[in-house]
Amino acid sequence: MSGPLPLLDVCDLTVEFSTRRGVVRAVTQVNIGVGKGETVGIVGESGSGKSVTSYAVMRILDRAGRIAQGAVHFSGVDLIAATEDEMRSLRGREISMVFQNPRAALNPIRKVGHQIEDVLRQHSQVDSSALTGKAVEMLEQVRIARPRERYHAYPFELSGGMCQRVVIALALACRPRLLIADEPTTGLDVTTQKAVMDLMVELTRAQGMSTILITHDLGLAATYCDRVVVMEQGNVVETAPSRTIFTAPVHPYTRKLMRATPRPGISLRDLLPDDALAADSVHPSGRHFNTRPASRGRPTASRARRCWWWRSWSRNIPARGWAAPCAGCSSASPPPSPKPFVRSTASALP
Amino acid sequence: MNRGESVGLVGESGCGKSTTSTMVMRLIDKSDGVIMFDGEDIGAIAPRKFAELPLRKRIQMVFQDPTDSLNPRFTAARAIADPILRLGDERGRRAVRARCEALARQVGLPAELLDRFPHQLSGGQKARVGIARAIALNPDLVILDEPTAALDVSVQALVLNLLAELRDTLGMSYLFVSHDLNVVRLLCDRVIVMQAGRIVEQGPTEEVLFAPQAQYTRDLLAAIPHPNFV
Repeated sequence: MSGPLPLLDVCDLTVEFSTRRGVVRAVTQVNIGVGKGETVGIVGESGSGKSVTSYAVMRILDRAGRIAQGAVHFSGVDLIAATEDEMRSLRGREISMVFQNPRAALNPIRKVGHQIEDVLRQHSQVDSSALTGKAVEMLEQVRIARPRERYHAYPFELSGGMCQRVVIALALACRPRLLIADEPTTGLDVTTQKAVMDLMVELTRAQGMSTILITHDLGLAATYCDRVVVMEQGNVVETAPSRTIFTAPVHPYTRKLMRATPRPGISLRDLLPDDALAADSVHPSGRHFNTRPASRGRPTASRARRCWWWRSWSRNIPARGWAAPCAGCSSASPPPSPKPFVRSTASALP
Repeated sequence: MNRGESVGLVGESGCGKSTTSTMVMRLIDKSDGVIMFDGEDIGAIAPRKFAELPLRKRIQMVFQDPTDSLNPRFTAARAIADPILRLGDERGRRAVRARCEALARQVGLPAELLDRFPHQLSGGQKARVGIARAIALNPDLVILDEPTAALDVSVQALVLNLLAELRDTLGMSYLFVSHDLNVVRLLCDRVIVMQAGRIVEQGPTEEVLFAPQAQYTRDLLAAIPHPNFV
């Protein structure tokens, strides 16, 4: 962190999702600080809560999700107390985001140049007469060849790397102070990845921007970040400068991730942790998976009931195709006592 | 490619590696040239016809994104059973189900997950379903089109180990399409580097990766972010 007051200060952030199976706590008391001009990497497997954390910062959580606890301050502004209007003016202008799948992030039926103009117009950054020129300039800045022609291109006419450049141009159009890049290069090949990352680092450095890079690629985090935050199952398990975290990892989870990264000079067996083979093969990660019943072999009372109801209701419909019957639900009578189906994982947490 | 050999096909997107593999798979037609498989010119067979030939059993494919390549309305068991029902010898519900369960065991997929739909499975589990489906007919050649691109590193490690183990037990050949040279190095005996539709370099894996001849191969190697730890 540079200086006493970080640009973004996430303090004790807890995010919960209400699901049919009870409340799932996706992020638990996470603390992250991002200084001005700093590049912070958030590393972890899928389900570790790294994307949810960034969505919470942008306040673009799914409707089922809510910030249960904690504070998020962005250069003195309380983002959790801010109204939706205030957030709208912040998003894109002060904090912007590059999403994982560039094709999904762009409007498929609008020319990319117009999409850049939309952002500029929304935040009234330039005169309407200068919009086109500015959009072309942005395309040029992200090194898209022949920007004047590409201004009229639709996303499907561009390659994956090109689309990601457009998304970066969108994100940087208003010169935000914080850029959140959520796996910006997943799905791109190595040479394109290098080009995109180099470009992003160069532009953010030139404008003194702070960056949060969310990734599961430790090599990428080690190369481009000043500081790395390792997350596992919604918790921050380790925070350290990227130089020290990879030479002297403290937490076993960090070591496990490092070990699984393919790199020169190791064999296939070396990738697996010592205790791995059987234990980890089924449920790879995340509390999300653990909240499910471990086995569908013996159904819960309510599931068996539902199966029974379905069967008695659909008795006259001939069984179609090849679908196998639910393993434990073969009894013809409904199970006796349905217990109320309430399941709170929050209370079961360590 | 020889029997039991694993060959890596490397290059950036748009270089023609997926086109080559789908051509071998006979999903699309070639313009010119010959594709010989076990002494037979499979390039001359029309893609539509090839799908019904017994030869089709011997070439199978694992696709890139397990979410996209599994039918969302099929359970895992149904997805694995699909090639068996079309081309396999097993007949009857019980026999097919037993084969599915055996395959699930082979790829380390718990039997109770067989009745789940793709959206109820994690990425690693879906990858396992895709692999089980590909090996269902005991193929001689499996084409792996970036099978781990959508997976986390720790899950990728497990899947790569599974693939190596299956190859050793079943004696299959792999055509491994990828842009990650570090992954290719772990699984392949030989590497072919492609650029803009042409082969620019090929040879034994270690030779190509440690003493690359073509400038393009050197660029590819240089582009990998260096995890210079451990």
